[in-house]
Amino acid sequence: MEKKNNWPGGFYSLHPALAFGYFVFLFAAAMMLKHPAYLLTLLLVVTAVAWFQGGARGLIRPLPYYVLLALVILIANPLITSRGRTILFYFRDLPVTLESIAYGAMLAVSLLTVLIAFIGYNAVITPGRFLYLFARVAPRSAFVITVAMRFVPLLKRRMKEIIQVQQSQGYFHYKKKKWLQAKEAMDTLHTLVSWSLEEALQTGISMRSRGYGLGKRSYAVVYRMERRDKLALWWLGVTGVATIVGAAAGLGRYSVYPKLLPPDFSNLTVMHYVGFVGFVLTPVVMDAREVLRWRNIRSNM
Amino acid sequence: MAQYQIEHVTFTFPEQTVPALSDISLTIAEGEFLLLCGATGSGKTTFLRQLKREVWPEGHRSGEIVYEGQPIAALSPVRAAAEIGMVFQHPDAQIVMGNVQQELAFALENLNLPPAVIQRRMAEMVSFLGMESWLRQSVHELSGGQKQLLNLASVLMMRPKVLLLDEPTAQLDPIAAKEFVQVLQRLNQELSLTIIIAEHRLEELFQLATTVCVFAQGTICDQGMPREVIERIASRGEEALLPLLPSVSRMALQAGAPGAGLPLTVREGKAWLAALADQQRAGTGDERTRGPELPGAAGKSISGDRVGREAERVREAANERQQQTQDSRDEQGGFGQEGSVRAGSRLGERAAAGIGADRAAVLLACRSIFFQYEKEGPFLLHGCSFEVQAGELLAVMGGNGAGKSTLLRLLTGLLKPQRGNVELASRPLAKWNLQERMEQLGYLAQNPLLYFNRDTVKELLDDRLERLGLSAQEQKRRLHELQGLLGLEPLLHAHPHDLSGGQQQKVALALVLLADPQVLLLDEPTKGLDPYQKHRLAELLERWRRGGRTIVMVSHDVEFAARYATRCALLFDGQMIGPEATGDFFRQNYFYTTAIQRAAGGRWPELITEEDVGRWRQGLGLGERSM
Repeated sequence: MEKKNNWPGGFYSLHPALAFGYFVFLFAAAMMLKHPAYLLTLLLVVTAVAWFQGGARGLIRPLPYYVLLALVILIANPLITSRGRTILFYFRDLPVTLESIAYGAMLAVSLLTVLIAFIGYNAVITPGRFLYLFARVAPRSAFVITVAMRFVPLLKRRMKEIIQVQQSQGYFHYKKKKWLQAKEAMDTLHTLVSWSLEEALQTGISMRSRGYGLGKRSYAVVYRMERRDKLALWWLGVTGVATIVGAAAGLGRYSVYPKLLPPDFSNLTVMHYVGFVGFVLTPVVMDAREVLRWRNIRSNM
Repeated sequence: MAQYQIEHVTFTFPEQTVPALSDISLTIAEGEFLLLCGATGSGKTTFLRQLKREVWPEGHRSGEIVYEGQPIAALSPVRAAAEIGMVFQHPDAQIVMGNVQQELAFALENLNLPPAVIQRRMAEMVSFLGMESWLRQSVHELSGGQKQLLNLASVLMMRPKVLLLDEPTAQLDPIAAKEFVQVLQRLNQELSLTIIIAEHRLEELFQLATTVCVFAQGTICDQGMPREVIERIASRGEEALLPLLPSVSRMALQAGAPGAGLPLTVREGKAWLAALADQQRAGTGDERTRGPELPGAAGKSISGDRVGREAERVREAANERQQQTQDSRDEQGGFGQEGSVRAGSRLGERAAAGIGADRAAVLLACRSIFFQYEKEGPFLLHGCSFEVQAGELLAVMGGNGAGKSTLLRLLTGLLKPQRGNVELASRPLAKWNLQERMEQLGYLAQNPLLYFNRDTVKELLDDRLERLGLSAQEQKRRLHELQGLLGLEPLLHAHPHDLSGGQQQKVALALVLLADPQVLLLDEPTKGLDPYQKHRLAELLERWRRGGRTIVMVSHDVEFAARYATRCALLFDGQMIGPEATGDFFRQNYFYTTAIQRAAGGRWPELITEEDVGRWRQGLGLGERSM
């Protein structure tokens, strides 16, 4: 169920709560900090995280769709809004402004960042870890979700088996009318449901015989806070809080409307930016160290 | 102290008048290995389920079940769940979680134990059972044997004192079953766990059990040490109970041994046969000519000798089945006398013509097939070629995951090979009309539930007939014929899910046979059947085949194949070894063969099934002397 991670010793091995917190921060930053320097940094960072965590394949496979989506927004925004003072040209009587183009570009980068960040998120916060994080809040629902998750691939495999048998029994053969095919598909479902219910009965008995429903359940999986986790917590805490406080004070914000101005590069902003980079770059540094370590081990052999 | 004291327990299912269990009294000691045997429906599962409160069936119960001095109904819920563990028949249906680790933790999480305890017990359990390498796997990636071991481990995590097992190896292949039984033996001997097991596959269990209870019609009809019970059954010669004995014991019985001192294991069987040979040598007083290498070679070197001639006869007897097949091909027609209408079918004619010209007409051929499920996956079959002859029963054997079921689906055309092709009557499957092809090739999957999408058996049959597009008269005729063949009459108005496993399989078989296929392809038809049901299935297949029709089955069941198949083959490493005539096939094998062949093979390689032994014994004419 859980895919193997490329660098299990790096960011992936951090306590899931920390990793979860990191990604929440990342999503929030991608949506709120519209400063071009911040945004581009974020885009690079999430790409690197996705690369390390999801592997080249995990990153590249969905990328064309994400880029396409971003392009649509990039083009659509100036066509939809005419806000902004600097009119560049008219498109079918519609004023196209520099500001709306810039805003569209920022929106596109922001969206692309969030989408790519999800690649890394899915690779690090696996379903099992997500459940671990929420088992303490809602143990019953967590258990139900775990069991239900097993059923999706299970039912798919069963469906395939049933369809094969039905084919051998003369189903789905002839180019019949659509509604007849739909009827046969209903038969497939009929078989699937009754078979699964039959098994569910047995599963229920087996669960009861192993003490299910006796009362409060515990949760076997534990992630302990290691020394390294505490260090990471300290580091992420300091840089994270600094970034949030700075952002609340208005640093790292940027607005293109009503008129595009050069972004703010005051000393304070640069300091804020450094703290921000320190925060977001943490997993990249951890994974890069992991890569280097293995390279060293190999070259020393 | 007695673990269980069962006194006068009677149990009746709802809306039934005849009790499923009547007046059963039994004391089960701590550390006992109790084997419950008997035919399906004899009450052994019902009895087993009385011993654990959580799995009590609905119905009326009287009498008393006392667990460690306390009535079972009065046990605390945690104690009842943890101390009495139960493993069921179907490996898949018992599993709750998605991966092995979660499943192991499941029971202890229910008991609300802290993670540290769960972790420690899991560590112990995993190393005890050697599960390290698949601990992190998803459940669906496991083999049947691994799944069942996982179910056992998950129960053992609670550290039970009693282990109840309801036909735990019925769905497993013989090797996985043996491994499972060995684990039970370790648990019993190393931890003195009380084990109570209901099972059909008794060969190994008879040697492990300390006590055997034979169930019949809801009562315990015999009880005692395994050897005593076997000897009693043998000396009484009850037809109904004989199939329960180990095949080596049955062999000795066939060969005319008295009930007392029956061999149970292959080792004892070998010694017993050696003694028989000595006795025979002494009886005839001619040691040199009647040495241990009695039949095979002897048949040629001392052909004038009486024993040599008898050995020749043994070989003939062993090959008799093939000859029967060939004879029966002449009576082309249906199952029964009324089958003449169908003989006019295209394929029937072609096959018949082929048989007329050459006795071994090829009906279905596999021409160097390559197959893989995924691009990155391994080649399950590579360069697999073999031919199926008209009128034979070909058994394809092979280990777990050798690709037997896949091969069957390829032969049916449900899967398409990457390379190579399957030919039906010398015509590639792809060139057949889809519907025609599916009517010629009858495919019976392992799980009969896959066939059921109506609420009664009759509706299922009617729907199937409708799909075949036959005339009303023909529909009626086929239905009538099949009802006669399979005895479906009493099942017609039942819901298919309410039937027993054997009946469900019969209904699925009926659905397949309604198309009157030329070739019947069976996937593990004997899985989960008791010895009686197996015998009935074999009879049924034999009758159906008698009309010149052909059967291909893939199976783990060596004993079944040895008794009923005309040819056998072994699928290994994506290729086919064989097919060869059943006798030749098993004679050349060393492990992958019947218990009788393993016991007798050294001296008399012709002896493979107990029938062979019986014929051989009659041939030798020794029966009267030693009795």
